[in-house]
Amino acid sequence: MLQIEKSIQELRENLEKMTNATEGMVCDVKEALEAEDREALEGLFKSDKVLDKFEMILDQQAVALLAQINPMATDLRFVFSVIKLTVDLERIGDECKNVAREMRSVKGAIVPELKEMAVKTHDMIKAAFEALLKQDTKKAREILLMDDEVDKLEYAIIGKYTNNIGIAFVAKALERIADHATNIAENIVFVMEGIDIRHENSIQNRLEKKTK
Amino acid sequence: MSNNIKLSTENLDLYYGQTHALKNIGLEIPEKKITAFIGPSGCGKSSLMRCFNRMNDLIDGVRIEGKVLLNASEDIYDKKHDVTSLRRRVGMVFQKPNPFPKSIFDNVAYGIRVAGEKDKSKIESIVESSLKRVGLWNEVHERLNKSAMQLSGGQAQRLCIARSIATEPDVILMDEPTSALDPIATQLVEELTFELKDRYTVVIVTHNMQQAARISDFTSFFYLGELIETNPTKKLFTNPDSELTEKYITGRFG
Repeated sequence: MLQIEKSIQELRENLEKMTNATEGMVCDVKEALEAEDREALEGLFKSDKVLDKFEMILDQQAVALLAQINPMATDLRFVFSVIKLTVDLERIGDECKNVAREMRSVKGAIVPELKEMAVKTHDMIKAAFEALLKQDTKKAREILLMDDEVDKLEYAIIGKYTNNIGIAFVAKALERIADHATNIAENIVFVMEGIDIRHENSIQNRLEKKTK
Repeated sequence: MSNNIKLSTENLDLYYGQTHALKNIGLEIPEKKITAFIGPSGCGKSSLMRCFNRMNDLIDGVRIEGKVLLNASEDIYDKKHDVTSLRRRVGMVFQKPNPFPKSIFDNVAYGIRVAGEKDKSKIESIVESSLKRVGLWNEVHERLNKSAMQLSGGQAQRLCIARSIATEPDVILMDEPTSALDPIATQLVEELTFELKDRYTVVIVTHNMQQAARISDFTSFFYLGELIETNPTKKLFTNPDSELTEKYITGRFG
C-alpha cells in the first residue's frame, strides 16, 4: 500500500470510529425517548467525551497529513471534508446532550411527535454514515429529501405544544442533528464529485447540480 | 476574462527518429501568465517547451510537423523565421545554472551585445536593472567583474534569469529551474518567477507538483507524448477533469 493510501486509510478508520460513537449517541436518544427512560438520557453526558477525544485525534491526523503527504484532488477534498465532518459530529454529540438537558424540564409522558422525530433523525444519521462509509453519493442525495420531513415535524411540534418550551427545545435539538446529517451528505458529494451543492435555493437544485 | 494567447501549437507532432515523442498537441499559452507543464519523465513536456524557441533544431534526427505560432500569427518553424531573434524573444533558463565562464557583468550583457548594442552606459544600465529585478544586485554589485563561476547555485540561477531578461524577451521558458537548488534559493526563484509574469509570459517545466501548484496560473498535464489536460491550476489540482490527471497528481500512477 502506498504511503498516501495508508494515511488516508488511517484517517478513514478513525473517522468511522467517531461516526460509530456518534450514531450510538443518537440511537441512545431515540431509544431513551421511546422507552421514556430518563436515566438513559443522563448517560449521554458521559458518551459525549468520546467524541471530543476523536475530534482532536482526527484534526491532528488531518493536519499532519496535509503537511507531510500534500494530498491532491480527491485526497485533498477528502482530508478537507474530514476537518469539517469532525465539527458536525462533535456538534451532533452536543445536541444529544441538549436533548437530555431539556428533557429534565419536560415532565410527564413524552409526546409521540418527539418520539417520531427522534426515529426520523436517527434514520437520517444512520443513512448519512452509511453513505459516508460506502462513498455513496446517490444515498447522500436521498438524505437531503429526508431533512424536509424532520423540519415539518419540528414546525408541527412547536405549533402544537405552545405552552411547553422544553418540548420545543428538544425538537429544535433534534432538528439540528438532522441538519448536520445534511451537511455530511453534502460533504460526501463534494468529496466524490467535486461539486459544491450547498446553499442552493431549493432541494431540487441541490439534487440536480452537476458542476460548480 | 479572456487572455491574449502568446504561444500556440496546432497539430504538433515531434519525432526523435522513429520515436513519436509528441502527438498532435494543440495548446494555447496565455500572455503574462505562468503556465506549468507536468508529467512523468519522457512524457514530452521538455520536448514541447524546446519547440517554443526551436532548441530541438540542435538535436539530430528530430522531425517536427504542425505549427507553433508566436503572437497567433508568426509561424516560428517557417523557413524564413530568424532563429537567433526568436531565441532572444523566447529566452530559456535551464535545470542546471549555466553561467558563461565570464564575469558577472559580461554574462548579463552578453545577449544585448550580441544583438548589436554598443552604447556602454546603456549596457550598464540594462545590466544593473536586470540584476536588480532578480534581486541579485545587492549581492554582486561590488564584484561585477569577478567570474560568474564563483556564484552559489541559487545566485547563478538568478544570474541566468537576469541574462535572459536583459534582452527583454516576450517569453521565458524554464526547464526545471529549481531542481538543483536548496529550498531557500528555490523560494527566491519562485517568488522571482511570480514577479516576472507582470512583464513576461512564463512557461515552466517542473517535476515538483507543489511548485506547479504554488506558482502557476495554468497547468498542462502530459502523458506518453499526449496533452491530457490543461486547466487553471486551482481547478487541476483540486478537481481535475481527467481520470489520468487525478491518478498522477494523487500519486496513484502505475
